[in-house]
This record gives sequence, C-alpha cells and structure tokens, in this order.
Amino acid sequence: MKTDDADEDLMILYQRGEVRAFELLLTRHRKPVYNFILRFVGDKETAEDLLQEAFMRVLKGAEAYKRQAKFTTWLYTIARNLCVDQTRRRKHRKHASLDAPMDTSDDSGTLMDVIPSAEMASDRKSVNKQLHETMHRAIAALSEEQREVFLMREFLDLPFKQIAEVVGVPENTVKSRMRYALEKLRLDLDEYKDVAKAAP
Amino acid sequence: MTPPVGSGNGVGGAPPDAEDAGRDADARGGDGDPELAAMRSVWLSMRDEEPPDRGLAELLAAARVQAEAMAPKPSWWHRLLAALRRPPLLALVTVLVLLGGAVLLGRRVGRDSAPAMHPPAPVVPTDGAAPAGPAVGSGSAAVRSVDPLPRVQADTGEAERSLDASRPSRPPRSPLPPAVHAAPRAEAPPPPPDVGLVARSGSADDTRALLIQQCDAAARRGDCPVVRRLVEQISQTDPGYRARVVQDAAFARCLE
Repeated sequence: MKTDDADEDLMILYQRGEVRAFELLLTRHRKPVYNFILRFVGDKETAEDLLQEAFMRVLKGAEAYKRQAKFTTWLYTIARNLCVDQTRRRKHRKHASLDAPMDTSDDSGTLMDVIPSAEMASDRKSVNKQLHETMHRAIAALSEEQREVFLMREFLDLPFKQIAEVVGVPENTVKSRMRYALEKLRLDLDEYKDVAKAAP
Repeated sequence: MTPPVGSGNGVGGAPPDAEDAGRDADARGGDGDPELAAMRSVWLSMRDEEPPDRGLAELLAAARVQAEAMAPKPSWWHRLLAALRRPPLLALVTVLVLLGGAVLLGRRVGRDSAPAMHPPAPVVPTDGAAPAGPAVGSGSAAVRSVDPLPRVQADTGEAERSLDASRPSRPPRSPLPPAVHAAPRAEAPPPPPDVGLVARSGSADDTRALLIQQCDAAARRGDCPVVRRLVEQISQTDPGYRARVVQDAAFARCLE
C-alpha cells in the first residue's frame, strides 16, 4: 500500500481488512470534509459531530462500496446530506440572530460587527479579518442549494459533473446555481469591492 | 455583468444549455471579471481549519472492528498452514513424519529380505491368473521364487511373455543383487516367467500346473503353435493330458 494510492484503491484494500487504508483516507479527507461542513453549517461543534457521523457512515457502507463509484463523490454526498438534514432541523428550532456569534471561536465577531463602516479596517490585518467575516456572512446568506454548490466548487475544487452527482441534479442546474451564488456574493460584497481588490 | 440565466432555481427563461460554455468559464475562472477575481482571492485566502481530534480514536476503533468483519475468512487449508507454523505443532508433525518414514523403510527392508530367508511359496494354479512372480537374482539353486503377494495378470500377456522369455534371443539377465530386483515390483510390471527355469526348479507338480495353465490360456486365445508345444511338453510327464484336452473345442482346433 502506498500513500499516493487512489481513494478507490484504498477503499478496496480496506474492504479486505487493511485498517491502514482507512487511516490514509481519513488523513486525506478529514480536513477538507470538516471545512466543507463547517462552512455549510457555520458551527464548529455541529461540524465536529457531523464529521464524525460522516466517516461513521463511510465505515458502515464500506462493505457495499463498489470500485466504480468515485470515493469523494460518495463521501461528499454523505457529508452534504448530513449538512442538509442538520440545517433543516435547525431551521425549525431557531433563527439566526444578529447578536449571535458567527463562529464559536473566542475572537469571532457578531454579524453586527461586520456591517460596513467607513472607520473600520485601519490596517491590512484587520481589513482581511473583516473581509473574511463578511465573506462568511455572505456565504451563510446564500440559499442552501447555492451554498453547497459554491463550497464544493470553490473550496473543494470539484468539477461540475461531480457536484451534480453529489447534489443529485443535472449538471446545468449546478452551473446555474453557481452562477446565482456568484451574483449574490457580488451584490453582498459590492461595498467591499475596492477593499477586496486591494487585499493580498 | 450578464444577468443570471438558467433554470436552476426556477428563475430566468433561457434554456439551460444556451450559455453553458460561457457560464462555466464565468463560474470558475472569472477571467474577464476583475471584481469576481478579487472576490475569489478573498475566499481562497480564507484558511482551512484543522479538525479537532475529538472522536478520532473512536473512529479508528470502529474502523478496526469493521475491517475485521469485512476481512475475508481464511480457507481451511490456510488455517491448517497457519496452525502448522506454530512451533509445538510443527515439532509434532516432524516427529510423526520421521516415525512414519522409519516404519515404512523398516517394512520395505523386511519385505525385501523375506524371499532370501524363506523357501518359495507354493504356486497355486488359478484359472486366468499367473502365480509365478519375477525372478529374484540368478543362479542354479532356488533362483526363482514365487511372489508372495497374489497378483492377477491377463492370460494373454502372461503366456506370451513366458514364451518370449524362453527364446534364445532374450537379452541377458541383469546381474543386480536380489534386493534390487525385488524393489521395483510395485511400479514395474513383473518380468515374464521363464518356462525353462520354472521347469527346472520347484516340484514337478507345480511346474506341470503352471504349464497346464499356460497351455489353457494359449488355447483360449487360439495360439495353436504354443498349444501344441506346451501339450507336448506336458505330455512328457502326463501322458493322458493330450487325450483329455483334445475333447475341448479350443484345444481340438489346435491339435487336430
């Protein structure tokens, strides 16, 4: 077994009882899947739980895995479905508050903090931070359908065809959603366009 | 800026394929749009967070359990091989093999030396079976012994080989010691009994019985020259033999 083996080969090896193959898959995909989930649900604790659940589901389905299926498609389908279920559950429970922290980290601000203001961002670091927070907010404001496509395309660099398989819609629909997502982000960040252009 | 087209959210009226190529380029590259490129640089500069190690141990433990459940079960001979690799069992098997080999070797040596120690067993004439065994060694006294193990041979081949063996053009016998001659009996077909030698050794009754048997076999397969020759030979010790057998149709054909 080599570290550069394809995901599908590693999965087949794992089916034959090679635990090391699964460890390699975990090392390879844990971080991107976690960040996908985190950007999707916007909450670290939930993201941790969903990450764990996603890989547990991979384990449960490992025996039935077939070599023809692309492993990342399968993995992100699981992660995406978990995220969708989670956000739907959450919608019923609570609504986002302007005073709620965007992130669980101590230094994360509230949505009120990132409302554009002429006095903000005196130095580059704070400008970047502000931009990122605004970006988080803009991404979170995307519709669920647009957000998942945007995250998979821009952050995971998945091709449209594979995104279409994950989401379960035609490829052209995915492209349309991506286009809408970009338009919306452009509008949301319009006030920052000069700052964004100046940002490194 | 081109307005959004497509049917993804049920918005817009253009057919989905209308601007696929351009849309794809816009969506990913944004080459012609500096605004989009600037935005992309912002979100691409957002660092990925490291996932916490919480739950990793449980995940790996579950992976191990699942791997054991999925691992193909070894076949019985794999398990046998694995068991044989264990030192105590390996030692036991080695001892058993050595003992078995010693026993087999001992039996073979005993069997090989048996003809030399015991007198030849009497030949029991049976219909269709040649009781004579292979030659054991060479010499004048007791050079022929009957195989102690009963062996059934085809009549036809037996008699033929007997005659062939008595021919003068027969190649000389191997001067190998008795043990060497006796050893390959199990694998090689027995050499043809030498009629002449048989006649000279053993009791007269045994010889006659053997000749009668061979004559009978030759008569059944219609080998008249052999029948005539053997009848003559038997008649030397049993004058009434010809008169008895001539009543048999098979013999009558040859003797008339």
